[in-house]
Formats: sequence, C-alpha cells, structure tokens
Amino acid sequence: MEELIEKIKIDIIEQLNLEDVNKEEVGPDDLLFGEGLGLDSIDALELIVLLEKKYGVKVASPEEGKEIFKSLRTLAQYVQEKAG
Amino acid sequence: MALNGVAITGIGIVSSIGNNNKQCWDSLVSGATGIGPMSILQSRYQSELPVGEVQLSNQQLQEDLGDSFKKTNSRTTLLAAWAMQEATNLAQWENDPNIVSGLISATTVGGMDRTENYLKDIKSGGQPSIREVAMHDCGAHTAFLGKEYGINGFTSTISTACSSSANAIMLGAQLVLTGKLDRVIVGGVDALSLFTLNGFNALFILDATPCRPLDASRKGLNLGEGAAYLVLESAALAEGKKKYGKVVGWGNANDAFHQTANSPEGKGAYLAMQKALKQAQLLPEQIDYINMHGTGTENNDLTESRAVKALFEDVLPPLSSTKGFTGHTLGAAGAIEAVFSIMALQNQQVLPGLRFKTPIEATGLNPVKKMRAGNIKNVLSNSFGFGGNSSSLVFKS
Amino acid sequence: MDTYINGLGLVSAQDTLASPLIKAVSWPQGPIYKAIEPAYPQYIPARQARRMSRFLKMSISAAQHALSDSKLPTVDAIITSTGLGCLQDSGKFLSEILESSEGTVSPTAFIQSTHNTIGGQLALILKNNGYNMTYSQKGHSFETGLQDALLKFELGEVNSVLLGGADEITELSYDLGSKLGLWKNSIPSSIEGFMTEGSNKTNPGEGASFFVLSAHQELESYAKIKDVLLWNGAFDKPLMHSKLAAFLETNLGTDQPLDLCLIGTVQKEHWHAISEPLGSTNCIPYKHLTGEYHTAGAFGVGLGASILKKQSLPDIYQNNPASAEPINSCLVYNNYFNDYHSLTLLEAVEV
Repeated sequence: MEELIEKIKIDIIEQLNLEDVNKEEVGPDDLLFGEGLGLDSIDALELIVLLEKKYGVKVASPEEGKEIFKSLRTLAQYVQEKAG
Repeated sequence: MALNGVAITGIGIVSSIGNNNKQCWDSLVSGATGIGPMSILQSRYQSELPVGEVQLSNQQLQEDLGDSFKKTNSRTTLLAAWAMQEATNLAQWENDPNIVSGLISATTVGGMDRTENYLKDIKSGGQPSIREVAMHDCGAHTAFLGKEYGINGFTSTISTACSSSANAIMLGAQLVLTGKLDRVIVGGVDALSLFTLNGFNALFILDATPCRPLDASRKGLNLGEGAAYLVLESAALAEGKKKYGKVVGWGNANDAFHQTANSPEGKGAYLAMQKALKQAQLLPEQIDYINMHGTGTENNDLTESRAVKALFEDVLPPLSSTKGFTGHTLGAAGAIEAVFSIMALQNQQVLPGLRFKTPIEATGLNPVKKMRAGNIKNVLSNSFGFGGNSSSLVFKS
Repeated sequence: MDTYINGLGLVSAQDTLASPLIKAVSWPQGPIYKAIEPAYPQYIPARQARRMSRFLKMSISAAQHALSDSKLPTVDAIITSTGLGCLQDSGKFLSEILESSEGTVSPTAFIQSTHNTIGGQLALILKNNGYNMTYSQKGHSFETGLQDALLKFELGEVNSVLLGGADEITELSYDLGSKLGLWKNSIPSSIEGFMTEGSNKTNPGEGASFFVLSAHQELESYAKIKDVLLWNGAFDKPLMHSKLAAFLETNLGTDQPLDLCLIGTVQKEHWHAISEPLGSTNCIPYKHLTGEYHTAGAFGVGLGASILKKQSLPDIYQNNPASAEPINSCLVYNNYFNDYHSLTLLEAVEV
C-alpha cells in the first residue's frame, strides 16, 4: 500500500506539473483539494485521466471522484480495490 | 449616445431547428427540438452523444450558395455565408464603395473541422490537399466573406469563447453609433468538430440525453452548430427600410474567478447584465423577456440564475433558455439567440425552453414552458463563456 | 480623446523585454525566429504557471512587464489579439484525440486552447472584472484590437487598457506553413537577405507585445497614439501612396514633417512604395528582428514608442544616415503577406 501511495504521489506531481510542491511534505492522509494540496476542479478531471491511463481504473464522473480523490490513501485504496 | 440604439435591418440564421428565419420560428412555435443523433460529423460518439446538427451537408451548402463558394469546403465559412445571405437579402444589401461597410464575425474554432480531417487523413496514410487547412484560422471565414460583400471598413473576428458573437453585435453597434461605419454585418458561426466534442466531453459537461436547461435534474449541455447574422445600419441608411428591432444595450465584463467555472454568485453575469441595462437606460422591471445563456450545465445555470435573481430581485420577467432547441452553438450562440430575441419582439411572444420540469432548488426560477403572447418591448440576451467572458445585450422593438 | 502608451512589454526574437533599444541584432540559428523566453518565475508564480504553455507564459510575462512598467496597479479593460491562438495546446489536444481515436483525453490542453485564454488568464490573475475582448483577424488581429481600444477611450468608457498581440510558432504550424509554401528555407543574417523582391515568402517568427494604454500622460509615457488606418489588398503602389498621403494629411497636417518611419515588411516593393514618397524622412526596417507573424505589427508600434521616449535610435540603426533630432513623430507601416496593411502614427509626448 505505502509503495502504491508513493507511486501515485509521484505521478500526480508529474501529471499536474506541481513543481512547487515538496514531495516529502505531502502525507498519505493530507487533503488533496482545498486547504490541503490546493488542487481544483480541472485537476480532478486530470486525475480521472491519470487513473485510467496509468492504472487502468475508471472513475465515471468528477462527482464520483470526490470521495476517491480525498487523499493519496483513498486514491490508492480505490486503485487496489479496482485493480485487484 | 445610443438613446435610440442602432437599427437592425436584416436577420439571418441557420441552426439545427431550421435553415432560415421562418423554419427556426416555426420550430420555436411547435416546440420541435433540433437535438438528435449526429449524422454529418463522423465521431466515435455518434450513437452516444446527441447534438444539434444543421441538416445541410457541405455539398448542399456549396451548391446553393453558388460559384464563389466552390473554392471552400470549410463548413464554418459555408454556414456563415448561408446565414449572412439571408440577413443581407432582407436588408437589401448592395455592394457600394461609397458606403462605409464593416463585417464583424465571431467563432471559437474557425475551420477546425477541416484541419481535423487533414490530420486524420495524414495519420491513415492518405495525401490530403493542404488546402484543407487554409481556412483554419478564426479570421479566415471573415476575410473570405468580406470580399463577397465588398466590405471596405472595419473587418475583424472576435473569439471570446461562448460569448463571441454577442461581443460582435456589441462592437458593431458602437461603430455604427459613433459614425465609424455606415452599416455592419455582425454575428457568428461555429461548426461541430471533434475538437470541441471531445473537449467538452473531457470536461464531463455533455449530457448523453437531450439537455434540460435550468432544470434541477440537468446533467450538462449538448453541442450544436449554426450561424446567425444581423445587419445594423445608421439612422440615415435605415430610413424607409423595414426594421426588425434595435440594439439598445450591451455590457461586457469578466467573471475573473476560474478558467472554466463561474463564480458562485455569477459576478461576471451580473456585471454584464447591469452594464447592458445601464447602456439601454432601462430599469430591470422594463425587461419583458430574458433569453438566458442557460447551457444546461450544473455550474452555469445555477450561477446565472443567482445573478438574475440578484439583479431583478422580486420582479422576475419571463425567461427561458433556447439551447434545448439548438444545443450550445458556442461562437454562434450569442447571434442565434439575438435573432431569437428579435423574433420574440417581432411576434410579441415569449419563447419557451424545452424539457423543464423542476426548478433549481437554490434559486427557484421557473422558465417559460410554452410559447405565449406578451407585450414585449425589451429583451435581454445573455452569453457567457470560458475564461470568464460575460456579455449581455438588450434588444428593443 | 488622446491615448498614451504608458507601459510596454515586448517578448520577441530579440532581447527586447528589458529595453527594445537593442545593441545588436541576434540573427536566428535556423529559418525560424524563436522568441527569447523571459525568466518566467519573475512574472508568474509556479502554481499559476503549471498549466500554461510556453506561449501563454510569454504572453503573461509581456503583459505583467507592461503593467509594472506603467506603474498602474490595474486597468479598466483587457484587449488581446492573436492570429492563430494557442497553437501548441490546440495541436496537443487534437493529436491526443486522433492518436487515441477519441479515447480518454486530458482536458487541460482543450481548456487552454481557446483564443481568449490570454485575456481570461490576465483577468483571473489581475482579478479584473472589466471589459475583456479577443481579436483574431490574420494580419490585422492586433490592429483591430487597437482600434477597439481607441474607440473605448473615445467613448470615455475607460481610462486605461491593457492591450496585447501574441502569436507562437510550433512544429506543426511550421510544417503546415511549409506545405502551404509560406516560408523561406534560408537562414537570415542581414536585412538584404531578409527582405526580398517579388515574393512574400518569409522567415516565420513569434512574439508577445503588450501595452498599457492610458487617457493620461504620465512620467512613464512613451508616446501618444494619433491614429490607425487599415486596408487590404495585394501590392498596389498608387493605392499605397494615396492611403499614405491622406493618412498623414489628416493626422500630421501639411506643414509638419514626419521624423521617422518604421517599415515592417518582407517585400522590397512595400519598402519602396512607403519610403519613396516620404522623401527625407528617416526610414528603418523592423521585421528582420522578429520574423513574420500575424501580430508582428505590435512589435513595430512598441519599437516606435520606445524610440520616441528615448529620443534615440537603437545602435543597430546607427549606420543609418540623417536621424532627425528631435523625433516628434513616428509612423509604423506593417504588412502581412502582401494583403494586410496598416499605418499607425505615434507622436512624442510633450515634456
């Protein structure tokens, strides 16, 4: 699980061009949106693309993504669930 | 300036609900939607995403438009030429070097349909003609049509996403009122393309069923295509001619909130409407019908409703979105809805929206469901777009 | 109503952002004039820049530079112009659609592809709710935007406008332009090599030119914009002469000399048609500095404004004979592909 979280973190930082973000500072349970990492609605759409392209996992809509994209851990759990 | 506005001496339109003014009006009267399966645009989403497609092939358009249009197969140029022909015919337009004439068109993606075809052909090993991409840029159709209509004054193309052609009408009115032009053709066009279809699809704002603007259950927009143009003339030139109405108010503002989403309170929308009313020297209660931008997306319809409620307070005029008929025609939407607004004035009828059942809980707006007679002197038309671009126009009978 | 240029930001193939009065021409390494990119973090925070293409970043930097140059905290309106828009993002999104046969595509390039992306981003960054417009009309994109700005001043609707013109060249657009037969393959290394006779083939370029226009003269003022005239049509010497004469007579009067003329063209015919009737007026070229693009005329206006402010020509023109001092008036002629002509008259501000 921790390995998957780390991998997703690196993918997100790369895909969303978060050059200003220090990898070490993003914890597995930190919020990705709003006050946490500060992602927005366009990032949510990019996360849907990322999950499908890199992990073969589909998210039907941004609404469905809301819970899944909460933190790196919820993301990893979803990927594991769907892929497994 | 602009107490009397600027006279509209011609209107022309082509959309999925009709190939001319009369057909479009008949569809509005009978409640016939133009949203359906796509047949001309070739896409993987053919059976999944309904669109508002103009029921004329490029070949039909070319044949009917005549010889000078054999040179171009850009659907954007052909649709624009088609609607412009009707508008200029009604205005009895004659090319005349002694009259200072302008052309202001609007589009979001110009000749993208041809560029797509070109690149698709290349990818599959074909050798398409490079002429396919010659009309790619937004200004290409305007340049082409400017020559057709002997335009000798201000000629340009506005590209402010979905508010583009409302801005063209606004600028044209100002240029005529300041005497910089004697007359001007204003409006806009967009053809369906894979680019916009896949783009809006990637934003998850396309409804897989016919759209439900302003309804609580709305799930997104349907893309449409089409073109519409108005001829605006100075008081001197318009004298003795039939007038279809006047452009009396305009407002342009930016929401400055987010690249694609509107601010929760619809600040840009509010400012655009407020400016338009001020320019028209009208109070909110003097507006007799609002043609809403009403795309059918969660975000637009809610924020636009809030802005309308904030400006009109308790005295809401009848309102509706006609995008349930035409789909969202992007760069053409402002002009198509301007023509609809003018038709409402001409026929003294309030226009209906389609497929509305339940008001949005937060705002409770009740759009008009059936066309009905009314005493209509002033119509407000809204057009908002990506990048925060927000524009409103007021038409007067 | 007078309109002043009070701030300027030029991103071009030359090192013009700090000062347009460059010391030496940097000739391109290949047939394309690539713009010298600014140090972006100076103008755009990383978080804002993360979705921006190179084109957007160049444009926003030029606009921010013009704003800080003008010392105005904000403007009443934002008017941008571009011939071809955000080509890199458009091309990227289109390729993604075609490569995946309309599969799952990333929306960011689509969102950033619309022509009004620069204007929208500027409104967002500056939190500007004012008038916001984007023009796209081939070689008159910038000039029709400028006409709109002048109209807004005339109507008293604005006291200040952020006005810009920008275009980029990408691999795809260069390739398509080659197939359309627009480009020269030679690498320019002199004005003579750049400007040729009997052909409008050219070396393509790119750039972003932004201006802060104001109704008021300030310490920072570069120049006053007197008027703009546009027309279309293939090379026609008598027509060019009559347009030029009428424009100067209206705006300069018959007894006022024209001190300087900047000529932006790739064709010698245009150079002669404009410079000959001007007699002793000092004429200098500028398009060999930028290469050809739809909004290159904006560069000419920016260069002219800088010369008027500094009252001196850049070193690269010092071999030019008889530079009249002081320079009170400057005409900019721009031509795009032998079809789009424009005349812009600038005047020095009274100190």
